[in-house]
Amino acid sequence: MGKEIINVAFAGNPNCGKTTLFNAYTGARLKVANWPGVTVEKKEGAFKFHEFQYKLVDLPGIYSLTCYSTEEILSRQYLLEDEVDVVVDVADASNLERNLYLTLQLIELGKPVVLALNMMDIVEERGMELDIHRLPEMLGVPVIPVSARKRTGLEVLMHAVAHHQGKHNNELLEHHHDMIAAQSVHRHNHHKEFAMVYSDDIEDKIDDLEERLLAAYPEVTNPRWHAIKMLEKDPEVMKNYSIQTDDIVDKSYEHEIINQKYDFIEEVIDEVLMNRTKKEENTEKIDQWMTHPVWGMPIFFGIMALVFLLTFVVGDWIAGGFEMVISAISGAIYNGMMGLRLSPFLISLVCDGIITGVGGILTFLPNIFMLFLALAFLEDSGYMSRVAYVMDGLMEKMGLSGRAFIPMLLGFGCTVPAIMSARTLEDTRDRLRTIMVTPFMSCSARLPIYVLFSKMFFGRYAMVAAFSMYVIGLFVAIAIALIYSRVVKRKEEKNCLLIELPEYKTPNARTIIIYVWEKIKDYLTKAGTTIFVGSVLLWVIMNFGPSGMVSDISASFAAGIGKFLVPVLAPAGLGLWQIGVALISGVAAKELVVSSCSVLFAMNINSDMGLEAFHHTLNTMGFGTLNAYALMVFCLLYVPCMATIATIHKETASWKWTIGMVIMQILVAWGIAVLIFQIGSMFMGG
Amino acid sequence: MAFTIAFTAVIIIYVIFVIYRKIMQIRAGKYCECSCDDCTKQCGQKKEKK
Repeated sequence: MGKEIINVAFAGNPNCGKTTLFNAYTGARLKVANWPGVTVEKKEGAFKFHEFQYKLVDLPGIYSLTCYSTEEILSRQYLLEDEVDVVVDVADASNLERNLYLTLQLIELGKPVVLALNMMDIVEERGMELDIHRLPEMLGVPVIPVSARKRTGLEVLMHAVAHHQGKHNNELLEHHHDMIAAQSVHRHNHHKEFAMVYSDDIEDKIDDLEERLLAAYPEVTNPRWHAIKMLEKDPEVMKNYSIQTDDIVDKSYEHEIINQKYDFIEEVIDEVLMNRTKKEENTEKIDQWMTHPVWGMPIFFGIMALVFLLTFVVGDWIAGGFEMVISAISGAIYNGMMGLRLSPFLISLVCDGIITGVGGILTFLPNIFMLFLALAFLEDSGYMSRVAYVMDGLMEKMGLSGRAFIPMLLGFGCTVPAIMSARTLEDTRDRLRTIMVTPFMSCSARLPIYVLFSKMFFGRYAMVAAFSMYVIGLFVAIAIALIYSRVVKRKEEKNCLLIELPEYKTPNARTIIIYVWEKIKDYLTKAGTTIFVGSVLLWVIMNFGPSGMVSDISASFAAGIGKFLVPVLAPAGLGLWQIGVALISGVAAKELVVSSCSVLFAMNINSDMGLEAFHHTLNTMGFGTLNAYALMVFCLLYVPCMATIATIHKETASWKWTIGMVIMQILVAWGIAVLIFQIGSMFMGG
Repeated sequence: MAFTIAFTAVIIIYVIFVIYRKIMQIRAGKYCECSCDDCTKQCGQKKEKK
């Protein structure tokens, strides 16, 4: 029957259940290491079934066998080695169309392939049916339905692996062109040899390249695959097999080859998949608009505007009750402390420092809640993947990889995971550029700043003013990326965006509740730790000066620090020392800007009356609407929080880059705030 | 007076604890305040997938 030790490689798309299936075979007998030279995990295992020993390797989840990512290169290199006897291609049967692209590429590699159709239980649940008889005839490989979760089909799969080793991937082929051969437009009749047959002109080129390849490298075992790769101008193959190809490969045929593969996949799906779900049809209909080349982006901005409408309107409605609770608690604490006859020093620390600072930031919890609720809704519905796709074209024009928008999108939540997710970008320059611009995407920590100042100074246009921050952040990010790409040229090869667009679905309530609760918990934790400590330290520097405890705040350390910054910040309309101190505190955490303002100006911002009083105080100090807008822009663009700075250093491994980015952000923030204030003053005559 | 000293001590100890915890977190490579173990994934969603 074949070898007694069968080397099996498990390949498949991410999230197809490949690892679950792999683990079902190997259980505790699993060995995890790294592939040589990289940080990608290599999982190996072994097990015995009947008279055969199986040695299994779980390859990283990949969508294709190009050479655009480390995972793809590793998988391809491993599969081309003589060691692999059979490739088990694990496909998600409920998303067969997406998974078959890799299947066709694996079949073209020339190694025996067995297609394991996983998640068959989901197929049944959705009322779909797969013609398991016809599918192997169209692909030429055995097809075994399995369910890794329910552990069905596992033995049948290994039985098929044992029987299929050493065989060609065409023994089962029965393409329907046999039946309509007279009507076929193909001159080449490779349909009995290969599942995937291209158009005549491409097949001509493949034949010519194969001939030259075999003449120069007779040891090549799968010349067809190599010829196809040469037509795609695959750099690895071109480098390893140097033959004259200019007269045949006049351009890259990658797009034609991909398109023809997908045409064939469409043909297969039409023939084998029955009762295709209404969900898929609905998804396609909705995507005609959501991913429209012209309307996609305006729809995105419209949806984000709706998110802000909810954040402001509904958030403020909930905040009304919330403020009453906070006021009641702070009143009770004050009365309690007075009743215990505690010293005025401590009462001031707790009430003017901690409660004012922490209470001030807790006031915005309802707005944060609404923002994350809306984002969770969009994420779970499947829309967020479309955003990355829609922005891909714009990213390319900015000189960035299409994948760069995904980290930038994450930046709307928190910049730390956003910067870390830039690791998925292969090109170092792309990664650095993305890390550089991601902090300009306004994170959720800045929202309290916008809500506070826009409510005080912009009245019924508050939402517009706050929304404009996100738009400005996006445009500044685009501008910086463009300038950088003009200065530092990108390498010629571009990474195509290959992203999974899941079906649209009704967001799962449990998923959203868990997600929003985690965010609220993190916000409350931050309020109870960083904001608490920041408020205490701020109170200390406000009440102590070089001569000890002070009653006049202008003699405090805080005033000294703030006044030092006044000449620098004045041109941007931020010439109040309290604003300078608040901005410095914002380096620890952006929410501290709001807490600090309420502590520094001794204002209770937990109520509309408190906001009114704060507004009046600022006005009397010469701080008006234009100043407020300049402050919001400055907070949007200036140095990110300490956590982000630390993350930038970790991801770039360079103090030069980290300090450079911090300085760049401060200069950009200051420059744009100055421009806004100075030009605005000219128009407003102030 | 005793209450004042006690409350002040609690606040000071808590502030020192928070700063110490933050330093330990940064040394362990965890820079954000979130409760998940891995900052490369969106928090909350990772826990749900587990």
